[in-house]
Parts: sequence; C-alpha cells; structure tokens
Amino acid sequence: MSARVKRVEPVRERPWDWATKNEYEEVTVRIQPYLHGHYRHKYRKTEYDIYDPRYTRLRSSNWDAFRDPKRFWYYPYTLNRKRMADDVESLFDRALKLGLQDHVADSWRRFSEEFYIPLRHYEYAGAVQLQHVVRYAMGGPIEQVATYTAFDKQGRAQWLSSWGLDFPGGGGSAALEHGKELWLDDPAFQGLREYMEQVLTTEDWGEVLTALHLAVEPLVDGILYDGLNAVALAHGDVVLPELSLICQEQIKWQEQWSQAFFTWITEDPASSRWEYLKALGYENWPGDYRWGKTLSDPRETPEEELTNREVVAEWLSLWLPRALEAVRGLQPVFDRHGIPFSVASSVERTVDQAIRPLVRAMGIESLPTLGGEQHVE
Amino acid sequence: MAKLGTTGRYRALTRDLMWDPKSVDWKQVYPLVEAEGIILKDPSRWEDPFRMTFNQYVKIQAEKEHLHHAIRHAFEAHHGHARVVDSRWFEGVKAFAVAVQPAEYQAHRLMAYIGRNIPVEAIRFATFNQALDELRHAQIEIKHYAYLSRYYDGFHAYAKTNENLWFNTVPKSFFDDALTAGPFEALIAIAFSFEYVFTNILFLPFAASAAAVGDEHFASVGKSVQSDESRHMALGMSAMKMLLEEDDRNVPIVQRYLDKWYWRAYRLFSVVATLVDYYPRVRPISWKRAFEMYVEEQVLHGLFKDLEKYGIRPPRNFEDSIKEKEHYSHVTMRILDHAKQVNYFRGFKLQPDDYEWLHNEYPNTFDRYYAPFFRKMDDHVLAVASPGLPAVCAVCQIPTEFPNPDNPSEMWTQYAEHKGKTYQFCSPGCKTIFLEEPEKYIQFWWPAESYLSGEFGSTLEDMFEYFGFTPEETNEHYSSRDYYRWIRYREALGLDRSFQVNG
Repeated sequence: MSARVKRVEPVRERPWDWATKNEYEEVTVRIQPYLHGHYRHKYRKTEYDIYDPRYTRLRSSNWDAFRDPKRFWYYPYTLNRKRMADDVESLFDRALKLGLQDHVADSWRRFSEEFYIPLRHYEYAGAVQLQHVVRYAMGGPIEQVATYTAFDKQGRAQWLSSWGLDFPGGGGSAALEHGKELWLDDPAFQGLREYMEQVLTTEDWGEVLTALHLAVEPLVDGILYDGLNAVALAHGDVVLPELSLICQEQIKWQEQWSQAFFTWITEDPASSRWEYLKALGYENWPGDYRWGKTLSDPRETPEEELTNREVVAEWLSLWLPRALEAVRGLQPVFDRHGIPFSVASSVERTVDQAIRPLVRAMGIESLPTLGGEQHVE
Repeated sequence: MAKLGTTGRYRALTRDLMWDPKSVDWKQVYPLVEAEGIILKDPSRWEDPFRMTFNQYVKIQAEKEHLHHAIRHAFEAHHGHARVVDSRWFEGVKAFAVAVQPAEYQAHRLMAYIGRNIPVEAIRFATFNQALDELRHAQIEIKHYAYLSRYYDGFHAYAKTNENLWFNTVPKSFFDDALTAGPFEALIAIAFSFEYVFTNILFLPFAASAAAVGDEHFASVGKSVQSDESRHMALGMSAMKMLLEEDDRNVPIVQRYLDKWYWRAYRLFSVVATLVDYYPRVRPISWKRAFEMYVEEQVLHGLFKDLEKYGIRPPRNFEDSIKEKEHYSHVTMRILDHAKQVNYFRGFKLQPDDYEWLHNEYPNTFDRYYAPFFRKMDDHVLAVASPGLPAVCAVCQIPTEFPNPDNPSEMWTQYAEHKGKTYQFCSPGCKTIFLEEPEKYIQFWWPAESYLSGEFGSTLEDMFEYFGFTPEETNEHYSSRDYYRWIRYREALGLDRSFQVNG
C-alpha cells in the first residue's frame, strides 16, 4: 500500500525565464525595474531617470550579477537578527541581575562611557547615508545588502544606547546627553564627526560605500567591536566584549559583502554605463523615444574616462587618509582615562590585515596613502 | 538616577542620534528639505505612534515570517494551487502579482528616499522600518508567484512585463510619480493617501476573497502584509498631523497633495475592484460595499471630520469616486476584456452564477449597462477585443474608457492642450492633476508611442517577446491551457471526485 499521491507535473521547472539557483536569487534578481520609468525628478538631478546608471561613476556589465555571500533576503535576515536581539537582551538582563558592572574598574567605566556612547552617532550616520544608497544604487542585489546593513547600523546605535543607559555608570539619559556633547565638542571626536558629515554629503553611492566600508568602518569597528575586548576583560568588563561578539557577526557580514562587491565591480571591464542593458536582453535598445536626444546611442558615449579600478583607487586616496586621521584622533580619549591602548597600532593592524589585502585583491597597484608595502606612519 | 519608563527608554534609544552638522552646510545634508515650501519649526516634539525599536521589530517580524512561511510550505507541499474552487482565480492573482508586487518594491526604495531626506527622527524611524516591510511584501508575494509559475502561465517573465507592458504602466506611473516628487509629497502620497485611505480595501477584501476560493497561501500573504500596513497607516496619520500643526502655511500644500493623491490612489485601485467583484467565484464582499465601509465611512465620515479643524476639506473629486462605485468594477473589467489579447492575465466568460451575483449586488447598473457587453462573449471570446494598443489617460495610464457616472451612456474622456499637443484623460480628476503639473505628466512613457518608434521590434512576435509572454498566455481562461491543466491536476489528485453519503 502506498500513500503516495500522483505527481503533478509542473509546466516549467524554474519559475522565471532567467536562471536562479536558490530562494535568495528567486526573490532578488530582476526585482528592480531598469527601463521606462515615467518621469524624471522634479527638484534635483532633473536629467536623471529613476534608476539611472549615472548615479555612480562605477559601471557594470550586469548590475543584477552581484551576490550577497550570505544570501540574505527578508526571511533569513529577520530570523538571524531576531536571535541577536534575544542574545543582546538576555546579556543585558543577566548582567544587570548579577551586578556585573560593580566588578568593572573605575578607569574603564569612565573610559567606556566616554568612548562607546558617542559612537552611537557614528553608527547612526552610517545608517542614514545608506538610505541614500538604498534609493539610488543600481539593482536589487546591491541595494538589498545596503538595506539590511543600514538596519544593522541602526540596531547597533540602539544597542550602544541601551548599554549606555544602564551600564557604565548607570547614568541613564544624562549619559547619552553627555555622549552627544562629546561627539559634538570634544576635540578627539571632531575628526570622525567631520568625516561622517562629509559622507552624508556624498552623492555617488559607490563613493559612499567606499568611504564607509573600505575606509572608516574597518578602522573604527576593528577597535570598537574587536580590539578592545581584551582590554575590557582585563578591567573586569565582560558585558562589552559579549556585546562586541554579537556586533562582530554583523560586521563580518558587512565586510564579506563589501569585499565581494568591490572585487566584483573592480574586475568588471564595462567601459560604458549602458553595457548592463545587454545582460537584461535589451542589446538592441534604440534608446527611449522620449529622451532619445540625450541618450542617442548610450552604449557608445561613456562619460567616465577611468576604469572602475581607477575610480575606486581615486576614492580611496581621498577617503583613506581622512579616515586614518580621524580615527587616530581618538587616542586622547584613551589617554585621559589611563587605558593602555594604542589606536595607531590598531589602525596599522587593520590596514595590514584588512585594507591592504583588499586593495590588492581589487587589483589596485599602488595607493599613496598605503605607501606600497610600507607600514603606515 | 531614576529608572526610565518605557517611553523614556524608547526616546533615549531613538532620538538625538542625528546632529546639526558643524563642518558642512545643513542644506547639503538635506538638499530637498526646502524645495516644496513645507515649513518645519520644531519637529523634534513629534512621536512616531508605534515605538518600534530594532529588537522589537526583528522579534515581531520573525514571528510573522515563521507563521507565513509555514503556511506557504504547506500550500506548496500539498498542491494548493489545484485545490482552489476555480482556477480562473489565478488570472486575478497574475494581475495582482505582476502589478502590485513591483509597487511594493518601488515603495521600498521610496521609503528610503523619504527617511533619508526628511530631517525628522520620528518619521525617519518609521520609514526605516517601513522600507524593510515593503521589501518583505515584495518578496513574500514573489514567493507565491515563483511557486505558481511552475504550474501556470503569465508569471515567468514578470520583470520584463513590468518594464514594458501597458497594463503595468498604471501602478508604475503612480509610484514613479511619488519617487520623482519632493520627500514631503512622497510621504503624503504613500503614507497617507495610499496607506491610510486605501490599503484596507486592497488587502482585506482581497485576502478574504483568497480565503473564500481556497487560496490559503495568498490569504496569508494578504493578512500578513496588512498586519504591517496598520503600522504604515499610523505613520501616515501622524506625519500628516505633524505637517499641519507645524505651520499654517503647510495646510494648502498638504491639501494640494491630498487632492492629487487621493484621485491617483483611487484610480490605481480600479483593478482591485475587479479582483473583488469578478475573479473570485465565491465572493465575500463587493467592491461597492467595501468602498462604502473602508473609504466612505472610515475616511470621509471619520478621518476628514477630524481634519476639519486644521482647515482641511475632503479631497477634490471625492464625490466622483462615490458616484463611480456602482460602475467601477464593471467598467474596469470591460477595459480588461477589451485588451485581453495583449495581457498576461486572461479574462473569462461569465458564468450563470456570476451574472446572478452581479445582478444582486449591483441592481442599478449591472443588467442595464454592463451585462449586454459581457453577453457578447458568450459565443465568441474575442468578440469584444479592441484591435491595437489602447489609448490611455496621460495621468493614470488606464485606457480612457470610463463612462460619465452622471450619464453612463456617454464617455467621461477629457482633453487638454499643452504646447500644441492634445492629451486625453479618463476623468476630470486626472485632467486637473495634469493641468497642475503638465511638465511632469507630458513625460509619461506610452507603450504605443514606443512601439511606433520601433523599440518593440518589427513583428508581433517581437512585441510579445518584449512583453514577456506569448499569445497562448492571453485571451480567455475557460478555453485556455491553464484551465485544461488545472482539470488534469485535479484528476491526478482525485479532487474531481465527489462522495455521496447514504443515510
């Protein structure tokens, strides 16, 4: 006796005319339309289409070809972050019940309050400018990772706030207010604050990703969620290192997809902004009848002279020195509380272990800031 | 130090995170904030009504996702597609699929735009969450179509269909209009006109219809989406009150946006009227009653009474939408039937029970104005097909085939000249919208014009290739291969049997 129901044969084995390998691709690839938007902007960039390759200097032969190494779409992303939210809440809950804060050395308590709390503004500014990326980036796969990363940054800003309310000195909202004053006025934070303001006024979404994920974030996050763990433990603080481990998981993903994105895009030989149309099956597109005059033969009118690799190198040579300076400027916060930590060494380590290998992986031969194979001064 | 209460804690986690920039000009950070003439004095006192933190958001949404995807898995595992009462339902699902899902996606990008450009943290917080929600909606809807596409026509090239087909220019023009407007207009357009006024009528009757015909998965999509929408509706309401209370000079601007976007949203929902009145064979509610309940009662008599104190009146053309309620679904179905040979979802011959239901629900209009049209198809399904691509309204993009509700035997079509060119409109509502921003609306992408310019290639095959489906996927359902296959699926599963009980 078999309880097997007769098989109902599908009429097509794959759902879409384009190939997809998994659920992530099924709900991500081609989700963004490319052609035939109805109108152009009323106020700014009035010559641009709703999804326009000219929002970045980068060019791609297929904007839909990027893949998130973790294949996050809404369902797995939300489930994954729900676990982290539970972990953070139970961490704080247990730590408060056990009074773990009472075992923390005074110097570290004062330092951590003045260091971690102001950086919630750094996280939040990143989240805000990633919304710009979400709006203007080309293609579902790219803007989707930006969407979840923005949400992560917002989450970390809240976790730092939540920690700040209860932990370092139990200072409540006064501690957060003090943190904001430091962010706005303490000389040690001004480089980083200014950097984030410059990011907030950067319009090219590829440049925003460069400034955030290739320059400032590896440097700051390397201290915030990794480098300081041993120091914290040495001062009797186990809460921040545990929080860091959870945040580190988000940071790792952010680094993974950023590396995947930049190595993918810098290898792309596309010379025209319009080459991606071939991948969409519009290789014979004569141009939109409405704007035919502005894009008469778009595939032969590249507006960018440099290759993607050169563009990224140019961005990095602008942003990396700024980032290095801004992050090195944080040292006085450590010094005035007697915390034995060298920001310069941490920065150097990050440059050696993360940034320089990535720059090399992108095929960028030399970057003046990195001084070839030399150590950063 | 006193412990913070829930509200204080929420404030501490979500406010004062942005700062007034010191090294760059504030206007460089918010380049669009002054473009529309909206005045903000002290928006920091505004609260978002839902008080959702990152932690709460992912916990609540993870629960919803668990529930919904469990239902989806069960539906897929047990051939849910074969178990509906009549497969013509899926023609309606196709319409919804290829039109609504891209709209959700556009709303996702739009919410990021609004949150980035409006410097009010209460609003930004809600829009961040909503930007994620809208991506969720697009993706859970796509999952339904990904499954159905293995068994039914019409879905398999939805991206192309969305980019190139005349039918999809309707929802696309709505969201493209908002995406190219200033951030405050976009906020009123979506958060208020779309979400607050109309999403109940989009998701509740449609989810109820899905449940009534046995499409358990889509019923769950509708209900799960709607549970997010209640948050979006609250945002729409509080954002609008904030703008009205910030400064009196905002009132006429908000009124102008309400006037425009009420009619835009109302026209966009025309197809929903057919999805409620025509496609399901078991119908829980009519468009007319749903409109009375969700729009007339809740919005006109509820909400706009509350807004009187701000000097806000009901939106222009509200009366027209009320007059149209007895005609709306029939007219729209007639338009779809005219063009069913160039659409990825099919029309269908009305059955005796359809005629009976429509007669009972619409005693004043159906038999007199519309039944004769549908009867023409009894003998030949293409008897009512219009040749060529339809002439469309320059604002809403719907074919200009609406009757004047005051005199249903004449057309409502309107005309206006702009820079030596004549434009046509489906209704006075759309014509007024055009006249207020002609430079915007003359840009609309018209597939017929694109076709004539050679973009679709030279043959009919080229055109269908561009549309993303084939002629076999069009026309009428009961004579289609989809219906034939559905019968075979049911036989394979034994669902064609009926069991007698002696007793």
